[in-house]
This record gives sequence, structure tokens and C-alpha cells, in this order.
Amino acid sequence: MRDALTVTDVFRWRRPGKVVTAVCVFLMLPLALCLSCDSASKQQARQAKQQQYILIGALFPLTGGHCDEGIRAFNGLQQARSDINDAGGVLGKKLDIIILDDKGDEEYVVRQYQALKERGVAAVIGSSFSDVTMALARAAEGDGIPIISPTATNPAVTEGRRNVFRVTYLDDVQAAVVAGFALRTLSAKTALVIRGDSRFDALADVFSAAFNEGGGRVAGAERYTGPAQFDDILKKYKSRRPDVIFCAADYVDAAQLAEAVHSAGFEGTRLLGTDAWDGILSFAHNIDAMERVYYAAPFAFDEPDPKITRFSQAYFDNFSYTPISTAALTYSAVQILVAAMEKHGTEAGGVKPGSASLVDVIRGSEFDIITGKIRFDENNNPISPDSYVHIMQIKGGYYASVEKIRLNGRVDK
Amino acid sequence: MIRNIRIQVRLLVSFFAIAFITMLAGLTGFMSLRSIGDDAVKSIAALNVLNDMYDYNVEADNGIYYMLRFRDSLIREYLDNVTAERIGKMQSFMADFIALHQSRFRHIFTPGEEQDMINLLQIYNETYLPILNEIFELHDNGDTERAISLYERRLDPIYCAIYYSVGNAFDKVFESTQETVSSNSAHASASAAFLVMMIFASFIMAVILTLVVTRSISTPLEDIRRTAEKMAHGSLDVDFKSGSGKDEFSNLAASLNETVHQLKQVQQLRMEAVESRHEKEKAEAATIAKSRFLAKMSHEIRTPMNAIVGMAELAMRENIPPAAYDQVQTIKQAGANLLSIINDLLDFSKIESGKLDILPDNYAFSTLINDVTSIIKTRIIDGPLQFIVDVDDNIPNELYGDEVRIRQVLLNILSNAVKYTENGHIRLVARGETVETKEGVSVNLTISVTDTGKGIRKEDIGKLFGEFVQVDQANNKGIEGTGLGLAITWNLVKAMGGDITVESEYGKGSTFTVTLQQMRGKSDTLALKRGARAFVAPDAKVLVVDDITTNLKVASGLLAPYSMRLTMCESGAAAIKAVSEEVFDLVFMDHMMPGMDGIEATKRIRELGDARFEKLPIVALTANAVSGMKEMFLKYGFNDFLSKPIDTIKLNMLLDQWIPAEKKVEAVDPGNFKGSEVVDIEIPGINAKNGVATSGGTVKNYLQTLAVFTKDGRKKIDELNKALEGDDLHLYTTYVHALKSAAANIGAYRLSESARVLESAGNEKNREFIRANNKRMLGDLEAILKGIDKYLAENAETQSGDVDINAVKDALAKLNSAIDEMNVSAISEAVKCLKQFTNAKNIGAEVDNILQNAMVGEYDEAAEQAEGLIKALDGGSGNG
Repeated sequence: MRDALTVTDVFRWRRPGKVVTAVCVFLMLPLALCLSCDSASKQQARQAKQQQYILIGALFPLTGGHCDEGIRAFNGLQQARSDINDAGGVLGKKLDIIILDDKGDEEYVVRQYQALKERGVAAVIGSSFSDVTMALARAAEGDGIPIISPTATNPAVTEGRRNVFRVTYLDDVQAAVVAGFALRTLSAKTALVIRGDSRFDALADVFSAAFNEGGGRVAGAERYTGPAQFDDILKKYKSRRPDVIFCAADYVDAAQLAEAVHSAGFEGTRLLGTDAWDGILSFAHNIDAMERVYYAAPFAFDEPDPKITRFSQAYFDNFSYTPISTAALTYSAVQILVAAMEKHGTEAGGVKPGSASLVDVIRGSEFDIITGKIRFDENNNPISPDSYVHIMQIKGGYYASVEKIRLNGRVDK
Repeated sequence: MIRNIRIQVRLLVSFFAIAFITMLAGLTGFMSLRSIGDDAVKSIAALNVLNDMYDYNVEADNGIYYMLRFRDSLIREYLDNVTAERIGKMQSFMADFIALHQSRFRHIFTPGEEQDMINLLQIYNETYLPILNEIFELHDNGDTERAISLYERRLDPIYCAIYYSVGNAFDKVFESTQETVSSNSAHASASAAFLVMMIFASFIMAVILTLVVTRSISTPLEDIRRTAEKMAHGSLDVDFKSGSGKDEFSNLAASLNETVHQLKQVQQLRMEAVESRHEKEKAEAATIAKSRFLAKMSHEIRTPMNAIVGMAELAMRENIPPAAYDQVQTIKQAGANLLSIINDLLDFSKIESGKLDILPDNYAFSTLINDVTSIIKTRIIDGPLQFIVDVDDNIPNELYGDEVRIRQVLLNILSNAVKYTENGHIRLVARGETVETKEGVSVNLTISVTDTGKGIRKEDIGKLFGEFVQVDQANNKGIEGTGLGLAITWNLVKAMGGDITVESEYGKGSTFTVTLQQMRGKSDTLALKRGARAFVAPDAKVLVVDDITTNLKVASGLLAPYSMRLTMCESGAAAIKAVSEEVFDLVFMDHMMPGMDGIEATKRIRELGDARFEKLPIVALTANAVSGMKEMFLKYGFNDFLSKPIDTIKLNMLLDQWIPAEKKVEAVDPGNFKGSEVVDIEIPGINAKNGVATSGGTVKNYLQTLAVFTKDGRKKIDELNKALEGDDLHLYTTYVHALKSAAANIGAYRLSESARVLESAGNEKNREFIRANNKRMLGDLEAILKGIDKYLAENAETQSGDVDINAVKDALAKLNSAIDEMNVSAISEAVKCLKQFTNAKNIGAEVDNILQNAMVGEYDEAAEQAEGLIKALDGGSGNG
């Protein structure tokens, strides 16, 4: 007969069950921990991180003849992305911008737009020039994806397209402002109007009309096909030098014109242009020749507005150069989109890529951007009563603002 | 549960579990550290790439700047040589970075940032480098101003854009690296913590497993040890806890429990053995004391008893009144009985005190049987009992064993049979089986004694061999005895390595069977012993004195081989006369003789006055073979003592001792001393074989003894009748006594026994019994005499030894002619005729040979031999 159970007996007869279980647990523990450390979980985390981005696209001429403009836009986008994400992103997510090169080509831009669409962008910012932007607008016509061009000035780009917006002012506005500036500030009496290809006809016409209307006299109207013709044109007016020369062309041609005018010895003759001249210094070789250049721009880095100062300072810190309109307007375009998304997303709990509603939000909202508060008219052109058109002048090889004119016509100095 | 697992398995599992956990810990640590290292290396590689990009970018930009600003052609050269290479590197770095970026830093960079790097590379290739080339071109063409302008207005902003992005990327990678490092650091400390935990876990597990396993081993071991300790302290009342497990300990415990069980049994047995030994020792001590007492008392009683018996014998020889004679005889008889009892007691006390020694030696079986039968026959000679002796011929005569003790055994059994059998017969049967053993040839003797006596009750058979037992005493009143006989017998048989059994049917009789194994003795040794040395003494003169002619004849037969000169006397007076007239070397003197008995005659011879009479060796002959006799005879002046029936061995020793050495001659033919011949004599009432043995061992002697016995016997019939008619019981008894031994000598045991009974009746003066039985005894004697006569007459020719040579020759001739004629019936007739000569002296063997051939059909051989024998006989008769 067994004696009464002792502690040892209990240990011997009962405990082994628990001990065996404990042993099993000890054996399983490291296995479980190993599994938990598996890289699969890391991948999941990465995917989750990717999904936290809100993607928008951008199309600019990063290469080719107008790459300087594209790179400025590139810089503006980089800064916008950086600033917005630093400020907390969009709808609690990070903003990401995929910038593709459109080479300033009307066909290539369409291809790149398709590529962006495939990557699921919510909106597209671009491009720099009206003709390329027009091609883009046409390609995006049926998609409903908001297209915001920072600098396309041609009214036709947005006309009749609900989803295509512009941030800059229309050519005619600028031309009128410049004409007023010439008459009023520069006290110009005569003007030579030079135009490049037909794209700039409207611009030249608006200036001519406004200058004449303001009391001046358009002494001559010339058309050129290439910058080499500038010397010949100038020769014709050497004897009767106009007070101002308005050139409806881009900044590359404008720079050459300035050189040509300087070489031709047209002292006292000022050169006038619109925001298409912004960036003219990129092609300036003779700084002295640039001293007579005046052009209208929707943005001036030295505007004593805290928003602008902050932006400009940051831009300078990042890229070692002061920002010009392209960078600022591109930056503003991002601001507009982000604000619209924030507004739209609060209701739907998320961005609905390609939905018409985002376009509606843009169309129906007012946006506080660097250059002031704006909203869009029926043709998606910016209406900004409090905003200025700045007259920029090249001084000592740098951009500087001379005068700012409210869109309602009041001139601030 | 765990006790169901074998210890080996337990240890293995524990070891492997600990080893597994430890290995797992090591492996996990290794993998963690490797992934930490891997992450760090990759991050640092990325940072290196970015750093290089950054550095080269700055260097290239600075180079161009200085080249332009200082218009230094050396720098231009340097840029040509170095910057271009660096620019190439820059391109590959960017490509590397993009690849690295795509493979490694997707989690750091957004898709847009990734695209930025691609854009930058593109810008670098398609914009930056063309502008740079343009600058170089301008510089080379001396248009430094334009070159500087181009540098400042276009190249530098692009450079700045690239610079910004690379810087950004660097920051991000750096940040990520920092994160990685910090997370790795966290990871590392987690890994380290995990490792420590694992090590701790494996330590804990090792401890637990070690505890469990060692405890599972040590606890039962301790149990077993504790229990074993109890056992060591002498307690067998223990239980090794085997539990319900199936491991080694359970098996061990079960085995130990079984061992304990066995030990308990052994201990119990030992205690019982000790107790029983103790009791046995007590009993043995008591027995020894008893035996010593008995021995002492027996000895003390025996000495005066000898005197009583001897003096009674002497008194009976005096001329005393018949009433006194009867009283003295009663005294003598009672004394003899008492002596026998005392002898038994002595034997028994020897047996009990373990002093009974078996002294084996060579002996003659025939002699043994003879001695026994002689003695027994004397006891039944006057009763109606028939004593039948049936001895197997195949028993070798020469055996090796303790003859004295075997004789004692047989006498005891036979005496018992005689004691308890009133009518019918007693049968002594001896059978032998010769067996070859390692030690030699042994003979398994089976000697049984069957009687038609009272038998023994079944319930008494068991106690038959006990001490002081007389079974069925109610029906055996008047039968004397100590009751020790069978106990002694049993002990003797056992001491000799034999066995004794008894079968009995109450009221009908019993059979005692003794089985004994005796080695076969060496005949030469026996022969030598028989004659001490074989010798003849042709010059020795021996006188034999006996009142019975048969005995004289027997004696002369026995002494014949020694070729001594024998003189026979039939009375004491004649002996004295012969001794005084002639010088004898030795005298054999019978004890009991009518007129002057042996003792008286010896006394007178010694008193004749000459020294030679004093020295003359006189050997007493007596049929009373009671122990103590020798001493008595020596006291009366005899030199030695020889009991009847005469043992040839003793005789030989005696002769060797007393015949003067100078008269002894070495025997030429020791064959004379061989044992019994083949005996082919059939006479009713006579055991011829035994008779031959007792009469010197040769048929010739025996036949001569028979012839003397017939003459003597006829004379005895008349003498006995006369003595009875004259109411001379003393004389009658003497005659009957003589007849008793004579009859025993020739093997007529029944007759001898009848004579013995009548002798004792005569001694008891029982006239009625004598008258009732004398006639029957004499009838028996007559029948035996007739049988002897008939046999002798029938075999007169052949047995005489001196065969009729002519008759032999006739028979041989007849055989020859029958063979010649090939007459089968004639041949068989001749063979039958020749058969009687097979024992003929000299020619017996040849005749036998011829017969053998004739009977197996070798007629030519037989005829040739017969012819040869006839010629030889012719020659022999011529010589004779």
C-alpha cells in the first residue's frame, strides 16, 4: 500500500504535466518571437506608409530650350511639397508630387500626362507655356482631373474647360498694365511694338490699343521671326528712337532684344514686356543691357508681404536664387489644390481622384495664395481684386520691383 | 507520468530541449545582429553615395567658378582632366543612387522624390552638361564674360536645384539612417534582451529539467536506498515502492521486492533449519549419551555373561542330576539369548554413535551364502519349515565389500523369518547383475528373503525398521528379541550404500529385499588371500578329530589341495593316542563329541608331559559361531578356532599360520584354489552348488563327500533310533547335532535344519517333539540318501573320473561310422551317448569339442577329432 502522498510524490506525480507544458511554451516562445520579427510585417508597414501619400502630378519643361523655366517650377514644387508636408500634409497624409518632364513639347506632354494618370494622380499642375498647356488641357478634357497651369497666359487655354485653371493673369491685363506704366511712370510718348509669332499678336494688339488710348503713339509695329532680325529692325528706328519698345515675346528673345537695343545705342529707350519675360536674366550676358528692361509680373519677391517674404526667403535658402513668378505661381498652384482637397476631403473623408467635385471645389472657392486671395471666374481665370500686377525692373543684374498696380487700376508704389 | 518514460529517454529529451533552446537563442541573436549590421551597412552605403554626389557637385561647381573668375588656363586643364571624370562619376553615382533608392529606400522616399532623382539625372545630362560645354567653349574662345554669365544665369541655378534635391535626399537618408540606427539600437537592445531572456529561459528550463529529471531519478533511488538501509539493519519487512511507472526504477523496485520476498523465505527456511538443527543436536547429544551408556553397560554385562554361559556349558558336562542339567541348560540358553541381545545393543549403539565402520575387502560370495545358510539351517532343522536357497549362477564369486556386515544383514533377516514363520517355507533368493562402471565391474546384488510367516500389517510396515520395534505384539507373544534387529539391518544396508524394502501380506508372509552394489573382487587377490599364499606341504602331518565321519570327510576334502599327510580320528581318546604315537604339525579338534569332548581332549594332550604337546597347535572346530567363542577356546588351551561350516579362506589362513614354514612348498597349480566349479548335480533336497562350495569347491570332492554321507547316514539312522529307544536324549542330541552339520555340509539344508530343531528339542528334553518329528526327519534323510545313491549310480561311470575308455572309444567309433554313413539318427544317438563323457577326466573337454562340432554340422571336423581322440586313448591306455 502506498503511504500518504508527500510533497515529493505530488511533485513527481502531478507536476510533470505542468512542467511538460512549460517546456513546450519555452520551446514555442522563441519561434513566435522569430515569426513576429519577420520582414513581411515590415513590407506591410511600408505599403501602409505609401498609401498615406496623396499624389498629384506636375508637367514642366525640365529639359530643352525652356528648361530654366521648368527648373524654376521644379524648385517651386519642391518647396511647396516641403512646406505643406512640414505643416502637416493634406488630410492627415503626406503630399507627394510626381514631376515629369514635358520637354516643352505639345505631343510629349500628352504622353507624360497619360503616365501620370496611370500613377493615379489626383490633379496635374502644368505646364509653363500656353501652347503646351493647351495640348495638355485638350488631353485632359474628358478626364475631369483638375489641371492648373501656373503661367499659361493665353485665355484660350482655360476657355470652355471646367477642369483647366490658370494662376497667372491673362495677357491682355498685363499688356494694359504695362501700357499704363509706360505712359504714366516712364512718360513715354512713342512706342515701338515688336511681335514674334502669331501667339503674341493679341498681346501686342492690347498694348498698342492701350498705349494709343492712353495718349501715346505707337511709332511702329514690327514682326520678327528670329532674334537675328532685331538689329535690322532697330536700325530702321535709329533716327527716330521710340521712348519704349514693347516686345511680345518670351524672355529668351527679350534678353537678345535688350542686348541688341543696348548695342544699337538706343539710350533712353526702355524695353517693355509681360510676365513672359520673367527669368530674362537667365539669358542675360551684358548686365548693363538689362538695365532698361521693365516687365509686368504677378509676383515680386521683394513685395513687403510677410507671406511673400517668408516664401522668398525659404526659396533663396534652398536654391540660392530669389524666386520669380514661375516658382511662386507653381507654388501657389499647389496651395490651391491642397486647399481644395482639404475642403473637399472633409466631407468625403478622402480625396476622390478624378472626381468632378474637386474641380467644383476649385471653381467655387476662394484661395489664399502667396500673391493674395483669388477665386476663379467662369473661364477659370483668377479674379483677384486685391492683387497686384508688379512692374519688375532689372537693376544691377538683379530683379527688382518698381511699381505695383492693383488690378482695379490703382497704382501702389 | 514521467515514471513511464525511461531514464535514458528523459535525459536525452532534456538535453536536446536545452540544446535546442540555446541554439535557438544563438540563432535569433545572430539573425538580429546580422540584420542590424545589414541595415547599417546599406544606409551608410547610401549616405556615401549621396555624400560623394554632393562633394563632386560642389567641387565641379567650384572648379568652374574659379576657372571663369580667375581665367586660369591651368584650372581649365585641371577641369578637363579631373572634372570631366568627376562628372562621369557623378552620373554613375546618381544612377547608383537611383538604383539603391528603388531597391532600398522606397520607404524613405516618396514616389515623387524618387522621380525627382530621375529628373535630376535627366536635367544633369540634358541641360547641365550641354550648358557646361557651352561655357567651356565660350571660355576657350576667350568670351569669358559670356561664359561667366552663362554660368551664373543658367548653370548655377540648375546646380542649385540638383544640390537642393541631393541635399534633401541626403537628409532623408541620414534621417532614415539615424532612425535605422536608433531602431537598430532598440532592435539590438531588444535582441539582447531577448537573448538574455532566452538564455535565462534555457537556464530556467535547464534547472527545471535537471530538477525534474534528477528528482525523478534521485527520489526513487533515495526510496530504494532508504528501504535497502532498512534491510541492511535487518528488517526484511520492507516494500520497495515500485509505483505504477514503467521505467528502470519500477522494474528495479519490482525485482528488489521479489528479492526481498525470496530473502524472507530463505530467512524463514534458515530459521527453521537452525531450530531443527538445534533440536537435532539436542537429540543427537541425547542419543550419543544413550549410546555411550548402552555401550558401557553392554560391555559391563557381556563380560560376566560370557562367564555365565561358559560356566553353564562346563556345568552341563559334569555329571549332574538331570533336573540340575535342565536348569543349567536353561541358564545357558537364557545367557546365550541375553548375549545376543547385548550384541545387538552393542551394534546398535555403534550405529547410533556413528562408529559403525564399513570395512570392505575381497570375499567369496559362495562362502558367505554357505555360512549364512548353514547357520539358518541349524535353526530350522527340527521344524516343519522348508528352507529354500536359490542363488543366481551369474553372480561372480569374487566380490569386494564388507562380508561381515552383509552376513549380519542376511542372518538378521533370515533369523527374523525363522522367528516369525511356523509353517511353510523360507526362501533365500540371490540375484546379481553385472554392470560395467568407471571404477570397474560392479555387481548389483538383489537378495530377498521370502517367508510364509505371519506377515506384517500394512500400517506396521512403516515402523518396521524403527528401533526397539516389535510389531503386532498381541499375536507375537513369546517371540523374543530386542526389536533392534531390523533397525540394525536397515542401518547396515544404508551404510553400505544399499537399500532394504519389505513387502508383506498380513497372515500370509513377507518378503525382505536387500539391494546392494558390490564391486567385483580380483580373483588373484582373493586366491592369495584365501591361501595367504598358495602352498602345498607334502611333509606336514595333520590330525583331524571329529566324531562324525562326514565332517572328517569334509575336512579331508578341504585339506586335500595342500597335499598334506592327514590322519583322522573319531574321538578324543583316539586323538590322544594318535598324538602321543606320532608327531603332528597341526590338530583340528571338534568341540562337541560324545564321551570326551574337544576341550577335555585338548586338556589331556597338554597334560601329556612333553613340551611338544604343549606347543602342538590345536585348532578348535565348532559349529557354535557365537562371538566370544575364540577367547573361550584360547582359555581352554586351544591355539586357534575354526567355525563350522569351514570357511576355506579362514582355513587357508590358519594353515599358513600354523604349518611350519620349512614344510610349506610354493603351489605349482593355483587352480586348485579356484572357487566352485560348474555344478550340474540335481538331487532332491540338496543344494549341490552350495554343497560343492562347502566341501572344498570341487565336484570330485563333493561327490566323494556324498558317498561318505550315504554310508554315514544309514549308520546314523540306526544310531538315532537306538538312542531314542534307549531314551538317551543326550546321545540323541549329539547324533542329531552331527547330522545337522553333515547335512549342511552337503547342502541338504532342510535336513540340516530339521536336525537342528530336533537338536534343540533334545537340549530342551522335549521328548514329545522329538518323537513326533524324528520319524519325518529320518524320512527326509532316507529320501536324500536314496537320491544320492541314485545319482551316484547314474553318474558312477562319468563322475568317477576313471571312465571306461572302451565305452568312450565305442561311442566315438559309433559317431564316426554314423558320420561316414551320414545317418542322422545314428549321429544323434552317438551324440547322446557321448554326452555322458563330457565330464570325464582328461578327455572331457575334447569330447565336448567333438560334440559341439557334431551338433553344429561340422561332421568332418568331428570325425577327425574323434579319430584323433581314439588314437590318443589307445596311446594313453597303453601308458596307464
